[in-house]
Amino acid sequence: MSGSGTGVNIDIFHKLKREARRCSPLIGLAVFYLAVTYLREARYLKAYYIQVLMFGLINCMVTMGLNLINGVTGQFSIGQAGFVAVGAYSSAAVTTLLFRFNALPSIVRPLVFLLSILVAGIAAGVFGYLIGRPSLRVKGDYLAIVTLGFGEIIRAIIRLIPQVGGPRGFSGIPRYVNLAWILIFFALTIWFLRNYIYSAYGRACISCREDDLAAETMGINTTTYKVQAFIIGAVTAGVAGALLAHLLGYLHPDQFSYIRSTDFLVYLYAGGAGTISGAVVGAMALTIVPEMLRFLSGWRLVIYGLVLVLMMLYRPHGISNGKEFSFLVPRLAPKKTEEVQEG
Amino acid sequence: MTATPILEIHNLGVRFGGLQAVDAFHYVLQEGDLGGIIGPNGAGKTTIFNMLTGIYPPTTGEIFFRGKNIVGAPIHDFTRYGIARTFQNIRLFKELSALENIRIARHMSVNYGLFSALFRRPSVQRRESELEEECMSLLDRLSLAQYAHHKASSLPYGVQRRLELARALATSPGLLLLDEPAAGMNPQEVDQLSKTILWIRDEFRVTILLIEHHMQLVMNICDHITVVNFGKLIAEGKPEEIRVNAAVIEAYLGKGGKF
Repeated sequence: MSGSGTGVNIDIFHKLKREARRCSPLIGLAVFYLAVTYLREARYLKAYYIQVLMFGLINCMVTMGLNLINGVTGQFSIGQAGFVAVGAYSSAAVTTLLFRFNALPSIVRPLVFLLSILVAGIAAGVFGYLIGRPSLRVKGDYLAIVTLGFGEIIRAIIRLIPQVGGPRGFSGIPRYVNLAWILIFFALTIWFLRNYIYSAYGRACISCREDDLAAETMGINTTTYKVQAFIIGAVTAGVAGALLAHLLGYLHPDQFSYIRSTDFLVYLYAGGAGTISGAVVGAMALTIVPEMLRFLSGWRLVIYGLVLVLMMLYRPHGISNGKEFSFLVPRLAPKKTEEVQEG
Repeated sequence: MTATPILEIHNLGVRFGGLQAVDAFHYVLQEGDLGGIIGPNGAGKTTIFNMLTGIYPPTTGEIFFRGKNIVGAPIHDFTRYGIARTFQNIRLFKELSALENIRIARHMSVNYGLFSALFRRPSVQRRESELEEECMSLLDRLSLAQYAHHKASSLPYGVQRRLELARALATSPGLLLLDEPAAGMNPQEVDQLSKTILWIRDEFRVTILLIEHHMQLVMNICDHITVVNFGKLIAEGKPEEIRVNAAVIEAYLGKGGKF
């Protein structure tokens, strides 16, 4: 392991290169934010476009969570909107009922908002556990029906709670979220999920998808990982829900019906289940495309449907086709060439 | 001097509804041995394996692994104790590369926690690098290195079998169960397999128990052979004893038959 002078230099050079590579996605995101803000200030971008972008990013987060459950772990959950609802309502309850957000001095507002996101994540995670745990007794189609049922139960319960507006909807939520907040949480979501998926934990989840029994005979406790995937997927959706609540300022139980859950499923499978890239591309594209087609009025949904059908016919593995953006795949430390290979 | 046998089975039995698939099965396997279980189709061989790996809970009896009764443990704990297996109809993670298959099998050797993983701490990075080297070296030892990045389902049949063996070995087992390792192989491949199995026993210091139809393979490599039929043990002994055992010949060939 003794390095000569040039060796050290090369080491530093490689280190710098690796650091640059590591940071490049972050720099890209920052540039993107600045560009969008500039265009907004210069009035090239209407507020409407930025609104669509923010919805797109939130949908990406929810879909990434769903990807962990459906795409990576191979469970078929169609109750994702339920987790978003839990996150949205619980965070809104924190900022609206627990604290009077607008009466707070502006310095503590971000803290209270972060607290509400934390609460949203925990609440959604608890629901993820409650749903994931018993659901594991059933598989495939049956699991889908169970998760669908749970999603609807969440919505029904919200209707029964008058403090959060019940069937009238929850209004008066501070509209605190802006693009910066959303980008930060979007980046964090990608980072955490990428780290999870490309670790032994993620591999264990993948093995559950590929072959439960073989995974068990490799010493993997498949129940643990299925539940873990449900919890992490739910937390992601919950955090996204918290952002949504504070973006919209108003929540209604019907926003989180099973139709919404199906939307997330479509985003995921159109984008490419099993990869983060697929979830992001799918959710973003399918949030933006219908908006772009608005000029077609009634024909909009026909075209949207047609696009989906054609895509499933000609690209059944989704837009990403099972490939991950290379910057999302963590690199291992470079091999030390001096080391003697063991035979 | 009596060392604890690595595997000891007492009065093992399982009933599926009206069918007594395995009945009062006794078996002892010493550390380092190469045992074989043979028997006609439907004799209950694979059922025994399924009980030895926790897939079916037995109705009666005990399984002692290194002196510890492990009946009732979940499947993954059987692997943790040190029992690994291959399947009669290969069960690789088909859509994943050979390397990924092995990496998943090394799961138990991963020592970082969930939070380290989520934050991808340096310890994760380090362990993952080591893991990659361990897996590549294992693939290399089983001459599979050239297939490391091939999708498992795209590999030739014989290679898939070898990869499944490698995957079982990757769990660092003390006891390796092989369920019809020669199924679907031609005579040359069977010859090669015999050598491989013996080599694995010595190289990885594992005790091996195999189920096989292929008489020649079993007779050539096993230290002792157990014959089952209709879920019952009918004979036990060294290969040359089994070859002339009347009950065995009857089970396989009917009365008056001859090997």
